[in-house]
Amino acid sequence: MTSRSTSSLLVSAVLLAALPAPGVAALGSESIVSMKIDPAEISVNVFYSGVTVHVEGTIPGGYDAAILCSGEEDSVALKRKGKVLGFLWMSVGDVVFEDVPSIYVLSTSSPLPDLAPPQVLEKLGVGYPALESRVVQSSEQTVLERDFEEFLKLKESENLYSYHEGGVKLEPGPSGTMRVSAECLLPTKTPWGEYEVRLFGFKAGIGELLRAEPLQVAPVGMTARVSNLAQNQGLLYGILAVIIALGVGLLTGLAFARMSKKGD
Amino acid sequence: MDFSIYLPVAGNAINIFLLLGLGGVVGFLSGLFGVGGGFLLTPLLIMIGVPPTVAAASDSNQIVAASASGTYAHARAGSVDFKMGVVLLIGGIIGGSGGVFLIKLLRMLGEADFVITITYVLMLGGIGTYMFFESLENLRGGKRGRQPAVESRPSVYARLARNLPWRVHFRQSNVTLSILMPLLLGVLVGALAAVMGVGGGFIMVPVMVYLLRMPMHVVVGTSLFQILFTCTNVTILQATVNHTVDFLLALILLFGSVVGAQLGARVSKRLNADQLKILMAIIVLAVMVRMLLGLLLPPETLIAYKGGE
Repeated sequence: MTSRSTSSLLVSAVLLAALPAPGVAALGSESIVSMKIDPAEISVNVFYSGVTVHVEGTIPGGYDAAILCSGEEDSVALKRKGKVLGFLWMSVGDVVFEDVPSIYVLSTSSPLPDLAPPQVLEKLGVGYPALESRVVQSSEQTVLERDFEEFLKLKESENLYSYHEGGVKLEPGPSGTMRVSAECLLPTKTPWGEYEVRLFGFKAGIGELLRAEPLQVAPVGMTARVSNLAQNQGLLYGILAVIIALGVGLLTGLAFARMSKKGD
Repeated sequence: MDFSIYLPVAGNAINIFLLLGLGGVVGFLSGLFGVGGGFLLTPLLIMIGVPPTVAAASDSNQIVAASASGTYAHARAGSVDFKMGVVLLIGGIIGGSGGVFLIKLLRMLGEADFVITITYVLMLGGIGTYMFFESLENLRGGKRGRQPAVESRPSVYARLARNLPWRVHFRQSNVTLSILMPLLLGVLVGALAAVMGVGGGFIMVPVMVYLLRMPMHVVVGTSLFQILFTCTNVTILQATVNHTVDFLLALILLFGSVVGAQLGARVSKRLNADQLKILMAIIVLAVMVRMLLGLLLPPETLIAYKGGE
């Protein structure tokens, strides 16, 4: 253990008393921490088919790290499925989750329990259990035990949520630092908006948000134009869509009629 | 090479050839049977990653093209009964509005999903089974199949139909009946379609064949004519109210479907009425089986996004 990190831990220990959640602290590592994301802006055009965001940075030696890429938070209305009359699978109730991130892609250098105690991870919002307690607490409705588990399955099936244990690579860097790197795969279904990539550091059960960088996902070109028209001028968009459909339909009809005439 | 294209309203990238192929298959069925094909295409689009609301709305948009193309082909062949189509359409609009009210009432009472799904399965199962066995019997009986199946068995319905006032001759269909019949049946199909959230072509076609006694070839063209107006209305409403029409998705689908619709209309002319009916019955039964399996097999996740029916 370096003298720098030992002193960091001492400072952290002092700070702990003043913090609401034990183990969430400033580790005093500000000066040597860095993070770079590439690309920092994602343009969604007609050829967009998902993108891999490369995250690189430096953290103090001896730390574990977690890199979280998460999207804007919103409420999500869901329906539960269950058996009706003992054999028919149908909707059996509704539940609304509040403060749900649109995307949650987490990579860690070690298994979650090795990073910090659950209450520290919960405070930092690192890991599915942390996300669960936040989402369930904010819901105004009764949430069944299996609801969040099934919700995770749903999000994972769309590649919008994922957890990669060992997804953060740690390598020795200059002056006793560590180089961190991870890849954050954003699927084609990535909603547009402001994202944030966060780098967390963990040592001896204490965790800290070391860096956060914004990540912009925005439509460009035809994607942006069509989307704007659909959202802001719905009636005009609908009429245009019908006119073009009618035109293509009738022209094809005409073309086929001519072709069959020639064939006769 | 990746042939995916990003759909701006659906918010997902889908393979362009897959969409063209799906459009082609559904357009073919549309031209062949006079159905919009939404009951088939919408679940397929959902399966390949289009959000349910966008799938249903964009589907309506592409059906406008397929039904315009199909109506044109059938009109040239003289197999569209415009008079009957307009009366059914008026009934459909009245029934559709009533159906929207009915669905609100069902949702208030709870159990709406249950009622809708069971109605759907029973409806498809009943229509499909009846059409299948009736056409099979006619096909086995050889030329007897070309005769209108109803003449031999006067029922309560037939007696009622004969006694209704305002009888009108529909030249293209070569039937004389009370104008109230297509109007009331239009209301019924419109209401059922609204409750089940579908265009209603696959209910309208059997209604025209069995209850209005229209010849099968006129049924296909007239149904397409009616679907053209219904889907135009739905597309504009969805675009204005819900902003869920993905024009790029509809455009790719419709390039496939207009070609498919022309081919379907050509094949339709070569098959006799009972061959067409038995094929339609098989497709209706296949959709019913798919829905039934969806009800009986445990879902992959026990939670789903609301509004995803």
